[in-house]
Amino acid sequence: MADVTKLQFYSEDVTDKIAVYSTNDDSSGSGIGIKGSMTAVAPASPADIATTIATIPNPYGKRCLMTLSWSLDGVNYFPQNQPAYYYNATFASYFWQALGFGGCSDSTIYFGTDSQFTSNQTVYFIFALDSPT
Amino acid sequence: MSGTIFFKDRRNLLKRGTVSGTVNMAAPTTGAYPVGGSPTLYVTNLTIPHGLGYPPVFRYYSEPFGDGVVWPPLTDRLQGRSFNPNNLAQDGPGIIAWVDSTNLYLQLFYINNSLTGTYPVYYVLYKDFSL
Repeated sequence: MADVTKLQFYSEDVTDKIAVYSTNDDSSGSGIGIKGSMTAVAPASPADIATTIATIPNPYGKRCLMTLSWSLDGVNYFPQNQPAYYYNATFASYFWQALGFGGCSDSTIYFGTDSQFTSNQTVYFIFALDSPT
Repeated sequence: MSGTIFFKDRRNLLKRGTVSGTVNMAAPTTGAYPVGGSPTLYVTNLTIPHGLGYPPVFRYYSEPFGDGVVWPPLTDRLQGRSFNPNNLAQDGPGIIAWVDSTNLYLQLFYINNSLTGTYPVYYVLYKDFSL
Protein backbone atom coordinates (compact mmCIF):
# COMPACT_ATOMS: atom_id res chain seq x y z
CA MET A 1 0.00 0.00 0.00
CA ALA A 2 1.27 3.44 -0.86
CA ASP A 3 2.69 5.55 1.93
CA VAL A 4 1.67 9.17 1.50
CA THR A 5 4.91 10.33 3.02
CA LYS A 6 6.94 8.46 0.43
CA LEU A 7 5.03 9.16 -2.78
CA GLN A 8 7.23 11.27 -4.96
CA PHE A 9 8.09 12.28 -8.46
CA TYR A 10 10.57 14.75 -9.80
CA SER A 11 9.43 18.34 -9.72
CA GLU A 12 11.01 21.72 -9.20
CA ASP A 13 8.21 22.51 -6.78
CA VAL A 14 6.74 20.92 -3.70
CA THR A 15 3.51 19.30 -4.82
CA ASP A 16 0.40 17.62 -3.50
CA LYS A 17 1.02 13.93 -2.97
CA ILE A 18 -2.31 12.34 -3.71
CA ALA A 19 -2.64 8.99 -2.02
CA VAL A 20 -6.19 8.27 -3.12
CA TYR A 21 -8.22 9.65 -5.96
CA SER A 22 -11.59 8.07 -6.44
CA THR A 23 -13.07 7.33 -9.83
CA ASN A 24 -16.54 7.00 -11.17
CA ASP A 25 -16.26 3.50 -12.53
CA ASP A 26 -17.62 1.63 -9.56
CA SER A 27 -20.79 2.15 -7.58
CA SER A 28 -20.35 -0.64 -5.08
CA GLY A 29 -18.93 1.60 -2.41
CA SER A 30 -16.88 -1.39 -1.41
CA GLY A 31 -13.51 0.12 -0.87
CA ILE A 32 -11.08 2.97 -0.84
CA GLY A 33 -10.04 4.56 -4.07
CA ILE A 34 -13.38 4.09 -5.78
CA LYS A 35 -16.61 5.96 -5.58
CA GLY A 36 -17.95 5.45 -2.10
CA SER A 37 -21.55 5.53 -1.05
CA MET A 38 -23.36 5.86 2.19
CA THR A 39 -26.95 6.01 3.34
CA ALA A 40 -28.31 9.00 5.13
CA VAL A 41 -30.61 8.07 7.98
CA ALA A 42 -34.10 9.45 7.86
CA PRO A 43 -34.59 12.19 10.44
CA ALA A 44 -37.10 11.92 13.25
CA SER A 45 -39.03 14.73 11.72
CA PRO A 46 -38.81 16.42 8.36
CA ALA A 47 -38.36 19.64 10.29
CA ASP A 48 -35.05 18.44 11.75
CA ILE A 49 -31.68 18.05 10.13
CA ALA A 50 -30.15 14.60 10.60
CA THR A 51 -26.42 14.02 10.54
CA THR A 52 -25.02 10.68 9.45
CA ILE A 53 -21.37 9.64 9.49
CA ALA A 54 -20.13 6.71 7.43
CA THR A 55 -16.58 5.45 7.80
CA ILE A 56 -14.09 3.32 5.96
CA PRO A 57 -10.64 2.31 7.18
CA ASN A 58 -7.72 4.50 6.19
CA PRO A 59 -5.17 1.96 4.98
CA TYR A 60 -2.45 4.58 4.68
CA GLY A 61 -2.08 5.07 8.41
CA LYS A 62 -1.50 8.81 8.04
CA ARG A 63 -3.63 11.85 8.63
CA CYS A 64 -4.41 13.23 5.20
CA LEU A 65 -6.05 16.29 3.75
CA MET A 66 -9.35 15.26 2.21
CA THR A 67 -11.11 16.86 -0.72
CA LEU A 68 -14.51 15.56 -1.81
CA SER A 69 -17.61 16.11 -3.88
CA TRP A 70 -20.97 14.54 -3.10
CA SER A 71 -24.02 13.56 -5.09
CA LEU A 72 -27.54 12.27 -4.58
CA ASP A 73 -27.87 10.69 -8.00
CA GLY A 74 -24.31 9.70 -8.83
CA VAL A 75 -24.37 12.10 -11.76
CA ASN A 76 -24.51 15.65 -10.44
CA TYR A 77 -21.80 16.39 -7.89
CA PHE A 78 -21.52 19.30 -5.48
CA PRO A 79 -18.50 20.61 -3.59
CA GLN A 80 -17.91 19.90 0.06
CA ASN A 81 -20.02 21.95 2.47
CA GLN A 82 -19.85 22.98 6.08
CA PRO A 83 -22.25 21.01 8.30
CA ALA A 84 -25.63 22.66 8.74
CA TYR A 85 -26.82 21.13 11.99
CA TYR A 86 -25.62 24.16 13.90
CA TYR A 87 -28.29 26.29 12.43
CA ASN A 88 -31.28 24.33 13.72
CA ALA A 89 -33.14 25.34 10.63
CA THR A 90 -34.53 23.85 7.48
CA PHE A 91 -32.48 23.55 4.35
CA ALA A 92 -32.76 26.09 1.63
CA SER A 93 -33.93 24.53 -1.59
CA TYR A 94 -30.62 25.05 -3.31
CA PHE A 95 -29.07 22.41 -1.06
CA TRP A 96 -31.47 19.81 -2.40
CA GLN A 97 -32.11 18.93 1.25
CA ALA A 98 -28.65 17.56 1.81
CA LEU A 99 -24.97 18.39 1.98
CA GLY A 100 -21.74 16.46 2.32
CA PHE A 101 -18.44 16.82 4.11
CA GLY A 102 -15.58 14.61 5.27
CA GLY A 103 -12.52 14.18 7.45
CA CYS A 104 -9.63 11.83 8.01
CA SER A 105 -7.62 10.38 10.89
CA ASP A 106 -4.71 7.97 10.95
CA SER A 107 -7.09 5.03 10.95
CA THR A 108 -10.43 6.19 9.57
CA ILE A 109 -11.91 8.20 6.73
CA TYR A 110 -15.19 9.91 7.63
CA PHE A 111 -18.01 10.83 5.26
CA GLY A 112 -20.66 13.10 6.68
CA THR A 113 -24.09 14.01 5.42
CA ASP A 114 -26.62 16.43 6.82
CA SER A 115 -30.02 15.71 5.39
CA GLN A 116 -33.67 16.44 5.81
CA PHE A 117 -35.27 13.56 4.01
CA THR A 118 -38.20 11.51 5.18
CA SER A 119 -36.66 8.31 3.83
CA ASN A 120 -33.17 6.88 3.49
CA GLN A 121 -31.10 8.22 0.64
CA THR A 122 -27.83 7.06 -0.84
CA VAL A 123 -25.19 9.75 -0.98
CA TYR A 124 -22.24 9.27 -3.30
CA PHE A 125 -18.81 10.68 -2.61
CA ILE A 126 -15.82 11.25 -4.83
CA PHE A 127 -12.78 12.05 -2.77
CA ALA A 128 -9.05 12.53 -2.78
CA LEU A 129 -6.58 12.24 0.06
CA ASP A 130 -3.20 13.87 -0.05
CA SER A 131 -0.35 14.39 2.29
CA PRO A 132 -0.31 17.40 4.65
CA THR A 133 3.32 18.01 3.81
CA MET B 1 3.68 -0.24 -4.45
CA SER B 2 0.19 -1.15 -5.61
CA GLY B 3 -2.41 0.78 -7.55
CA THR B 4 -2.01 3.61 -9.98
CA ILE B 5 -0.70 6.98 -8.93
CA PHE B 6 -1.48 9.84 -11.23
CA PHE B 7 -1.96 13.56 -11.13
CA LYS B 8 -3.54 16.34 -13.12
CA ASP B 9 -1.64 19.58 -13.58
CA ARG B 10 -3.86 21.49 -15.97
CA ARG B 11 -4.22 24.34 -13.46
CA ASN B 12 -0.93 24.04 -11.65
CA LEU B 13 -3.01 22.87 -8.74
CA LEU B 14 -0.39 20.50 -7.43
CA LYS B 15 2.45 22.95 -7.02
CA ARG B 16 2.62 23.94 -3.39
CA GLY B 17 4.21 27.10 -2.11
CA THR B 18 7.06 26.22 0.20
CA VAL B 19 5.40 27.80 3.24
CA SER B 20 2.66 25.17 3.18
CA GLY B 21 2.76 23.19 6.38
CA THR B 22 1.41 22.47 9.82
CA VAL B 23 1.32 24.53 12.97
CA ASN B 24 0.00 23.99 16.48
CA MET B 25 -2.08 27.03 17.34
CA ALA B 26 -2.80 27.96 20.94
CA ALA B 27 -6.38 27.87 22.16
CA PRO B 28 -8.29 31.06 21.38
CA THR B 29 -8.33 33.21 24.50
CA THR B 30 -7.95 36.77 23.23
CA GLY B 31 -11.18 38.74 23.24
CA ALA B 32 -12.20 40.16 19.88
CA TYR B 33 -15.01 41.83 17.99
CA PRO B 34 -16.47 43.63 21.02
CA VAL B 35 -20.05 44.77 21.18
CA GLY B 36 -20.89 47.11 24.04
CA GLY B 37 -17.40 46.61 25.45
CA SER B 38 -17.66 42.82 25.66
CA PRO B 39 -15.95 40.47 23.22
CA THR B 40 -18.23 38.43 21.01
CA LEU B 41 -15.53 35.88 20.21
CA TYR B 42 -12.17 34.78 21.56
CA VAL B 43 -9.43 34.26 19.01
CA THR B 44 -5.86 33.23 18.32
CA ASN B 45 -4.35 34.88 15.29
CA LEU B 46 -1.31 33.75 13.34
CA THR B 47 0.20 35.52 10.34
CA ILE B 48 2.41 33.47 8.01
CA PRO B 49 4.34 35.33 5.29
CA HIS B 50 4.20 33.38 2.04
CA GLY B 51 6.32 35.54 -0.23
CA LEU B 52 4.41 34.63 -3.39
CA GLY B 53 3.55 38.18 -4.40
CA TYR B 54 -0.07 37.37 -5.26
CA PRO B 55 -3.08 36.05 -3.30
CA PRO B 56 -2.70 32.30 -3.83
CA VAL B 57 -5.39 29.67 -3.99
CA PHE B 58 -5.20 27.93 -0.64
CA ARG B 59 -6.95 25.46 1.63
CA TYR B 60 -6.76 24.72 5.30
CA TYR B 61 -7.78 22.09 7.83
CA SER B 62 -7.62 21.59 11.58
CA GLU B 63 -8.11 19.09 14.40
CA PRO B 64 -10.70 20.88 16.57
CA PHE B 65 -11.53 18.03 18.94
CA GLY B 66 -8.24 16.51 20.10
CA ASP B 67 -9.14 13.14 18.60
CA GLY B 68 -6.72 13.10 15.69
CA VAL B 69 -9.38 13.66 13.04
CA VAL B 70 -8.49 16.29 10.44
CA TRP B 71 -11.52 18.24 9.25
CA PRO B 72 -11.96 21.07 6.82
CA PRO B 73 -13.54 24.21 8.30
CA LEU B 74 -16.75 23.06 10.00
CA THR B 75 -18.27 26.39 10.93
CA ASP B 76 -18.01 30.16 10.64
CA ARG B 77 -17.56 33.02 13.06
CA LEU B 78 -21.29 33.67 13.16
CA GLN B 79 -21.79 30.28 14.80
CA GLY B 80 -18.69 30.72 16.94
CA ARG B 81 -17.59 27.10 17.42
CA SER B 82 -17.35 23.70 15.75
CA PHE B 83 -19.31 20.63 16.80
CA ASN B 84 -17.81 17.19 16.35
CA PRO B 85 -19.72 15.51 13.49
CA ASN B 86 -19.00 12.15 15.13
CA ASN B 87 -21.04 12.84 18.24
CA LEU B 88 -22.78 16.19 17.68
CA ALA B 89 -22.06 17.07 21.31
CA GLN B 90 -18.36 17.85 21.76
CA ASP B 91 -17.40 21.28 20.58
CA GLY B 92 -14.13 22.97 19.74
CA PRO B 93 -12.72 26.02 18.04
CA GLY B 94 -13.61 27.08 14.56
CA ILE B 95 -11.00 28.17 12.08
CA ILE B 96 -10.97 30.74 9.33
CA ALA B 97 -8.17 31.79 7.02
CA TRP B 98 -7.59 34.38 4.37
CA VAL B 99 -4.73 35.58 2.20
CA ASP B 100 -3.35 38.68 0.59
CA SER B 101 -0.36 39.06 -1.70
CA THR B 102 2.00 38.84 1.26
CA ASN B 103 0.58 36.70 4.03
CA LEU B 104 -1.65 33.83 5.04
CA TYR B 105 -3.79 34.73 8.04
CA LEU B 106 -5.07 31.96 10.30
CA GLN B 107 -7.56 32.51 13.09
CA LEU B 108 -8.94 30.06 15.64
CA PHE B 109 -12.12 31.29 17.30
CA TYR B 110 -14.47 30.18 20.05
CA ILE B 111 -17.42 31.57 21.95
CA ASN B 112 -15.53 31.96 25.26
CA ASN B 113 -11.99 31.73 26.63
CA SER B 114 -12.34 28.34 28.32
CA LEU B 115 -10.32 26.28 25.84
CA THR B 116 -6.74 25.31 26.63
CA GLY B 117 -3.88 23.54 24.89
CA THR B 118 -3.05 23.66 21.21
CA TYR B 119 -4.79 22.65 17.98
CA PRO B 120 -3.02 21.32 14.89
CA VAL B 121 -3.71 23.37 11.77
CA TYR B 122 -2.78 22.34 8.23
CA TYR B 123 -2.50 24.78 5.34
CA VAL B 124 -1.61 24.49 1.68
CA LEU B 125 -0.88 27.46 -0.59
CA TYR B 126 -0.55 26.85 -4.30
CA LYS B 127 2.24 28.21 -6.42
CA ASP B 128 1.42 29.85 -9.76
CA PHE B 129 -2.29 29.56 -9.00
CA SER B 130 -3.68 32.88 -7.79
CA LEU B 131 -7.15 34.08 -6.89
